[in-house]
Amino acid sequence: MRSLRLALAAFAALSLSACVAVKEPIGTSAGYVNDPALEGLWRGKSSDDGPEGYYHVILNDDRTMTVVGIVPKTPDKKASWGTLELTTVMLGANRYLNARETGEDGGPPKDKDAAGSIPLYYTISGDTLSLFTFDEKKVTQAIRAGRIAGRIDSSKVGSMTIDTVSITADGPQLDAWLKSPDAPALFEPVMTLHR
Amino acid sequence: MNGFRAALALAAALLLSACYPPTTSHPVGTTVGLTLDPALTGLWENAVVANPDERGLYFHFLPTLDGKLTVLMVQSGDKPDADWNVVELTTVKLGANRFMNARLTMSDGKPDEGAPKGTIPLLYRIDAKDRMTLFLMDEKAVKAAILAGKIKGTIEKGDMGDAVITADPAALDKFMQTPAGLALFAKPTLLKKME
Repeated sequence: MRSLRLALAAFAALSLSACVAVKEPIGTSAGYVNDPALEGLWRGKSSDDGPEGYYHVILNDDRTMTVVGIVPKTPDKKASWGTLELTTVMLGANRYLNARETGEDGGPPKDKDAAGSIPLYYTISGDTLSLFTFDEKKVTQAIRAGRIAGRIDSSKVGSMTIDTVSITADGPQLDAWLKSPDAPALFEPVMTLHR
Repeated sequence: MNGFRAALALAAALLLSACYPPTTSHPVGTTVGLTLDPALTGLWENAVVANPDERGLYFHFLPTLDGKLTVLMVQSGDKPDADWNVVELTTVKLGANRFMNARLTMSDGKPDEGAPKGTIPLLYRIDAKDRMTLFLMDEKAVKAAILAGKIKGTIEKGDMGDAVITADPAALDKFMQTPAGLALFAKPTLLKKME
């Protein structure tokens, strides 16, 4: 199941490296509207050496979207599949989605940490969908500069110091911040999919 | 129309049928041993959609560790509310013919509690051009065969009553290799292997 976890993790920006927590999903003040440009079958790799996964994006009638993700088998890993729930919103000219893992190989997600909503910025150019996650360093700078309410918690693991970055701004504040034309610069690429 | 019926309707022209296709109490092929057909693994798409109002369908065949296949079927097209379904499949070669035994496990993310208890037998053929023809059993022909005593089974009351072949494994496998048994498979659907 790890291959799918990694693929979905990448799709949802749950990368094993740093991530930025948010108090509320992006777009709560604006209202979610499904983006029809996302609908259909997308393919992409979550890592350079992994198999190409398939991601079916289905528009539901309740302003949510369902992603059925499939990672084919490889010589050393069995095939796996899972589902995500997405909400999408446009803030200014910027497109965002919130992804939440809802299923894994026909059952509930095995990783309890995957239950949260993961915010992503995305662009669609032709048949290419690019997904971006918060850049931890840039968000840290923004918090320290007072541009957005947040918190950086440092903890020691052995000789290493690990920072956990949390945006504590409420929904309207977060949405107002991410509406800016400069907001996409706060994100870094995480995965590219193609039709 | 539930998701599975929609999927099978697309796959097997069951749009006008209000009942499940014929089932068997025992999977076809247990007397010779159910073995996974590796040729099925991958992504398939139904090659012909007869009605412009119908949707296409993707089939992901994923091998599992216990020698079965999980099949994810996802409707294609640009309309919202695509159905997606999960089917558990076993395969067997009986004489010169290959069969599947299908059992619906999930529709649109929820366990399908209305699925019949047995398995749905399908005859399939794969040609050299990566095209697969799937044949479901013709319900009227199955009912006629049961009534004529050619194979043991039950028929629910009414025109829409489900037909279940209840023959024991040995009798079932023997029958499925006869011209009379093979003649029950009709309603072909053509799939094309994409990857």
